[in-house]
Amino acid sequence: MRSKEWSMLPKMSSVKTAVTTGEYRRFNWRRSLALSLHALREAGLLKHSVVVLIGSYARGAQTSRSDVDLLVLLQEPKRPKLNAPYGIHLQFEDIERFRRRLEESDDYVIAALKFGKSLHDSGNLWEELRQQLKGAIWPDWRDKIKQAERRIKLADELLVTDDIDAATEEYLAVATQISRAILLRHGEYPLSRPELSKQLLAKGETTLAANIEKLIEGECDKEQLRQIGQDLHAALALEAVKTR
Amino acid sequence: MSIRAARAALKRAQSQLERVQTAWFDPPDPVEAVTFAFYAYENAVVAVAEAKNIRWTKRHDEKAALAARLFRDRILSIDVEDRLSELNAARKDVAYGEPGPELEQMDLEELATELEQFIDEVERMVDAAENE
Repeated sequence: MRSKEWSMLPKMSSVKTAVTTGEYRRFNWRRSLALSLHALREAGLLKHSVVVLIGSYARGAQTSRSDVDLLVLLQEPKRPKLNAPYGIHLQFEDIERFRRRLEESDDYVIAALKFGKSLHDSGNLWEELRQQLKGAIWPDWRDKIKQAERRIKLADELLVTDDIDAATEEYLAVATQISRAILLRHGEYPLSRPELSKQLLAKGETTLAANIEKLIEGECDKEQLRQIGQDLHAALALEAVKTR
Repeated sequence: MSIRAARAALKRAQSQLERVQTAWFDPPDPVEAVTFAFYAYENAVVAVAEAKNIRWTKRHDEKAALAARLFRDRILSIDVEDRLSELNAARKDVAYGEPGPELEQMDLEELATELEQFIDEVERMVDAAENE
């Protein structure tokens, strides 16, 4: 594999991945990564592109439930349809949009540039973008609160429809956004999702940290989700006051 | 895997469809429309799997692959694999700030109509499985 930073990846050949049926299978994530790059090459998507490992795997902080997140920056704004190997989550983004989001200090883009590991770069784009990162302003934590306020309504409504899995996913997204807001407000950069609870505990945010753990575990029933929803509403109200 | 579980999944899909039908017009709420449409499609696919005793997992990519399989095996007449992938990308974009290319090109009325047709087909399929 042609990879500039391959050797910098966390040294772990495989992890046990729990599948939802309760079975376990050996998931060799390096092999899945190699297959993904091969599929991208076969689809002609490596000619003018950058492929970056982001998220918990890039930081060596993955858990048994983590997906391998690959960010693929392309010249074209249209996203190609490509089936990723098991356990790989491909995120396509066009370069111009990514650049614009960087100028707006979008924290997802900043996190990708700060912690991502470039696996393929057809030019020198990733390094150029990383240079631009030095001039980026600190992300506005208030944006996260606005997004969380919007999303918690969806989570509440999904719980009403008795869709426990969907509500769990949406409450986790809300909890993640509130956590990011809190950390950014404290001047600390939010890390990957499995690392957030540790960061929150260090800030004394015990309830939010515990709720993130429960939501990542994904085994909450409706009543537990209702309680978590109430906790999140309370945390959000508290943060919303601080935005004023 | 059971008809009972299929009915429960179908009921969730129908209830989510109602949200999509009110979200697409006056004023349109694209975030709500794509989010509920995504979960409604997933629940409909799960309903078919339950009714036909087909194993399924909670992973979004595997539910999309299952949708393609149900079409290939002629259990369903519509292949919603691409729709699921498109909606998954769209809902993530809007949730984190701005609409991506998928949502900008999406006709929300058409989305609601197609979803309704799909859920109707799934309901007929579950009814037939129950009567077998």
